Amino acid sequence: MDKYKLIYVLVFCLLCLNFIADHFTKIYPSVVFPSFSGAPSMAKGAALRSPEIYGITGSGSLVMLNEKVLFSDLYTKHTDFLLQRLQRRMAAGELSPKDPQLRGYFVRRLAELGKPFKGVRIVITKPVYSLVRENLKNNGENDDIVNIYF
Amino acid sequence: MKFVDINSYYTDPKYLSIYRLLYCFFLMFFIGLPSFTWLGSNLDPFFSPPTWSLSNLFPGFPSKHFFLILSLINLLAFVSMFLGITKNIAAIVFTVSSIIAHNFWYSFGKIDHLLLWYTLPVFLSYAGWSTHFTIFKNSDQAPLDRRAKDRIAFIMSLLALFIAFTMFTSGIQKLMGGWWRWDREAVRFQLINNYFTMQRHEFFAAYFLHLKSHIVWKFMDYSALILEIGFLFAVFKRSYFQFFLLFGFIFHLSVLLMFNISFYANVICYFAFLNFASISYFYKRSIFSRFGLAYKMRLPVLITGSILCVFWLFCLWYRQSVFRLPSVIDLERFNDSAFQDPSSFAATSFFFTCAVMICLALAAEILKSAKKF
Repeated sequence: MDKYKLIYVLVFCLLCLNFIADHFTKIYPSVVFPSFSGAPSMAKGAALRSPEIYGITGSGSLVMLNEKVLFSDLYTKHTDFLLQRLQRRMAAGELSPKDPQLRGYFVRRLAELGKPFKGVRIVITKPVYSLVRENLKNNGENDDIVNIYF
Repeated sequence: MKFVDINSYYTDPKYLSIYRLLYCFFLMFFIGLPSFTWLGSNLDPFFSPPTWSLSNLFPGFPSKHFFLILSLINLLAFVSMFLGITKNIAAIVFTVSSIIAHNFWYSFGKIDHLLLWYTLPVFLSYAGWSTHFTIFKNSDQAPLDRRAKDRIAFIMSLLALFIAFTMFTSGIQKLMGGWWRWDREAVRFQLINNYFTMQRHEFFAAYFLHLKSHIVWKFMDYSALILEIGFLFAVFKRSYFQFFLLFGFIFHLSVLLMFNISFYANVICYFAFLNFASISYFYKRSIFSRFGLAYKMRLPVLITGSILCVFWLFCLWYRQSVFRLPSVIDLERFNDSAFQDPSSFAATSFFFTCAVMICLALAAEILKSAKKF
C-alpha cells in the first residue's frame, strides 16, 4: 500500500502543477475547470457582452442575421465566444478582416443560404441589465464593431 | 498526518461491471454519443487552438475523412466497452479517441469541461469493470487476493481525487474571482448573463431572475464555494466523499433548473461511488434473485444496446456530418442536422432518473443500517 500512497502523492503534485500551469497558459486536456468564476460589481447594473452579426447590403444598410442559421455548421453554444474572439483578434491586429479564408467562409455560407451581401458586420454589444428596473438597456455607445467586406 | 483511506474506496468488480452497464445506459438512453464528423478543414478560418494542446501541432483542422474515421473508432470502442469484449483496450481507445477529437472541438476559443466522463473508462477498466455482465462468459471472475483488492481501491481513490480536484479548481477560481465578497452576487450575475446572452429561459430561470434577496444570493454563492473547495478535503474517506457527491448532484440539478445547463459529465461519474453493496443486499433478499434475474437480463440488455449502436453506425454513415448521435429519448431527431445537445426533456429525464436512483440507494443504506441494530 505504501507504493500506492507514493503514487497518489505524485499524482496530486502533477494535478497541482497542471493547476499552476493553467494559470499562465491555455492547456487541453486540463483538470482545471474555470466555470463561471467572475463576480463583477453590479452596483450600476449587470454589464453584459452579447455579439450580433449583420449582413451589409449593396446600399450599406444592415440586416440582422440569425447566428444559429449562419453558423449551422458550428457548435451553436460556442458561436458567441467565436465571434467575440474574432473581434478581439481583429482589434489586436492578429487577424485581418481581409483574410481570404475568413472571407471565403462567409461568402460560402451566405451563398448557401441564398443571401447576397457585400460584407458582414460583427457587433459586440454591451447591454446593461438594471437590477432596480429589471430591464436591459443598450445605447450602443460602447459597441465594438468589425466589418468584413468580400 | 492521516493519509487518505484508500482501502475504503474498494468496490467489488461485480458492482463496477453493473456500473459499466449503467454508464453506457446513461449515454445510450439520455445523453447520446458525440460525433466529430462536423469538424473539418472548411472551418479553418476559426482555427485557434489552446497553446498547449495536440491540435496546436496541426496547421488547421484535418479533413472530414479524418474525423469520420475518428468517430467510427470512438463508436466501435464504445460498443466493445459496453459488451465487455476487449476489456482495457476498448476503454483506452475510447478515451484516447475522445481526447484527440475534443482537442479539435475546442480549437475555436471555448473549452467545455466535460473531460471526466470520457476519461473515467480508463480508470475503471483497470479496476475490472469488464469482468462481469459481458456478452461472452469471462474467465476473470476468480476471488480476488489482497493485492488485487488494494489495486482496485487505489484506482477508485485516484478517480475520486480527479473528480475532487476538478471541483476544487473551480471553487478556487471562484474564490479568486470575488465570489466571497459580501457586496457581490456572483450566482445572480451568472444567471443574468446566461438568461440574456445565451437565451436560457427554461425551467426556473425567469423566477430566479426576479429574486432580489441579497441573503439568498449570498447563500448560493457561499454554498457553491464551500461545496467545490470542500470536495478536495472529502477524498480522505469514501463516506465523506459520497456525502459531497450527493450535494454535488443537488448542485448540478440546481444549475440545470436555474441556468439550463445540463452538466451531465460529472453526474455520470458520481454514480461509480454509489453503494452498490447496499442495493445488492436487498436484491439478494428479493424474489428477483431467486430466478437469477440480474444475470439472465444481461443478454437482452446487451443485445438491445447493440442494436442502438448499429443504428448510430448507420447515422454516421448516412448523415456524414452530425454533432451528436441521438440517445433513445432524442431518437426522433436523428435527421435533424442542428441537433447538438441532449434535449431539455432528455436532460430532465436524466436528472430525474438519477434522483430516483440516489433515493433508492439512500433508502437501501438506511434500511441496511437499521437491520444492524
